[in-house]
Amino acid sequence: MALSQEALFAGITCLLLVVPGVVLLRGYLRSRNPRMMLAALAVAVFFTTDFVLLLAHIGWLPGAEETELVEFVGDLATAALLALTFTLRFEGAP
Amino acid sequence: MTALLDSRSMVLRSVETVPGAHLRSLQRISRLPLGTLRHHLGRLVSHHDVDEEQDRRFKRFYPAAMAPRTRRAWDAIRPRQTRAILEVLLEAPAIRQTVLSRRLSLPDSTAHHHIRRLKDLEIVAETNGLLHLPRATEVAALLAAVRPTFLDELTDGAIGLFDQLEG
Repeated sequence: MALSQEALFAGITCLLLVVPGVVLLRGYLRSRNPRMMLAALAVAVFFTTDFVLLLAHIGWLPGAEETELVEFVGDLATAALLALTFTLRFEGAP
Repeated sequence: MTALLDSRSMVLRSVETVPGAHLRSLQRISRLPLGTLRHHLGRLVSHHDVDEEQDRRFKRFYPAAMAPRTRRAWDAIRPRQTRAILEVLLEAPAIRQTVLSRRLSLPDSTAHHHIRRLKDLEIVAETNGLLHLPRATEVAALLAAVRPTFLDELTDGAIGLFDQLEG
């Protein structure tokens, strides 16, 4: 099965996101730092977006030609979560 | 037969080296194929050399001789920051929490989180506002035996980075 360039990029991105995702999730479970939870969520959203794109581009989901909305919403949510990660102030114990 | 017993004793040594490790961690440590590892762990559990405990979706493996209280203490001292707190408490047997957080450059909230967990496990106690270790010898032995995995190091590094944001 020949993979399109989009499918390849989406697959590579998914693979690259696994380690930071696992590290951030483990970090949150250990430290209960809410900032780490937001960062882990951002990675999870980024991963999910690219996973959906991957499935669409290899034909396991319909709409491979119309993935812009998925990309836009995914990128927007990731950016929002990252912005919250580094700007929110947390008071008291995590 | 000898090779089989060698593999089994290697699995037992791995469990003794990193008590509480999950199956995948033990695979990384022992470098045995997953099926072989599962087989040996099953035998070790049935011979009561190793105990398995369910931890959410995973199983953790401990040497059967390890007391439940020591198992919980072992789980708690794995994060680097917790170990650093305990090392300070070993050096300064009675210290205020604020002094301890300042000495480790930890945000108060982070130190509070770790110390509360250690208090719940009765590893750390507080008397007249001073923190101390009621079982210092046991803690020192546990600290000496900790061998963090690569993933533990990565996780601790990430926790340290995020704590700097709180500072």
